[in-house]
Amino acid sequence: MADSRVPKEAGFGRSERFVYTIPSGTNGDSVFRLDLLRPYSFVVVRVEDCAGFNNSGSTISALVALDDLPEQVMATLKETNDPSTTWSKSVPLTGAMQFALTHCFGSRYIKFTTSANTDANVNFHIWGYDPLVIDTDNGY
Amino acid sequence: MANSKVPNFSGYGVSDEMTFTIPTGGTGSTIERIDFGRPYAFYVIRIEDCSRIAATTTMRAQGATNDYPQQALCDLYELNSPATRWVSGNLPTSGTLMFALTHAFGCRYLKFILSNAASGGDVVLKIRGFDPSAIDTAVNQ
Repeated sequence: MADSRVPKEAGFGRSERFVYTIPSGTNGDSVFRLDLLRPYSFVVVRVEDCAGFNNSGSTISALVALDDLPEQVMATLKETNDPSTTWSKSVPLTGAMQFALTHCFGSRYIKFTTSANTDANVNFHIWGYDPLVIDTDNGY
Repeated sequence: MANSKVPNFSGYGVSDEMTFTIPTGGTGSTIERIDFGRPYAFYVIRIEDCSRIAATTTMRAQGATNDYPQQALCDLYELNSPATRWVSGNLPTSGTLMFALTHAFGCRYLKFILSNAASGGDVVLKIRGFDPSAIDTAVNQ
């Protein structure tokens, strides 16, 4: 923890925006995993139109892998410090939502599934976040 | 929060994958601790085949921060809660699991113990440590 102000160039940096789409009438099982191209500490997930989720209600859960050296199986994402609890949450059926997902710490690959088939395409916009350090002292 | 993209060489770095194998019929209590070679801030644990975990099995851990001098392994307690030993709920008995373990902040050595013996085969935990890294010293890896 530096005893100084944090410059604008430092802090958590982010990835490009990635899009993961669950097509209408499906639950994401057959959608290929999203490759964030490198591992990230945390991800932020946005769904700008939640009307595509099943109108009778739905939950989302995730499958994850850290890297592909060698290619890892996608494992069911559990809650932080709690391997007995699958991360699974109800989603809103209208409007827009954004949330930070910290349980997938260290993941490069991620895949979302829903408990009920969607009524329309559901687009997840996803960014990875990781600490960014720029040496402003020009080589110490 | 920097208003910029994060380059590939910045962020949390990761250790090599370490494996802690609990043999069938055992709980892990007699297995030698894993040495990660250095301490890490956080750990991510994967079990790619949970079918060898007996029903109603929980998991706990023991940790040590370094070996100067060699430390005894201590029972791992929850963050900010020395009254609460970290014990998972019942683990799944099929499929896969992956979770982040933050309670072991600063540990170099870890050991995992199940409440029931593994049955039908080994339970294999694949574990990686994570720590902030600003400089990529493993360019060719």
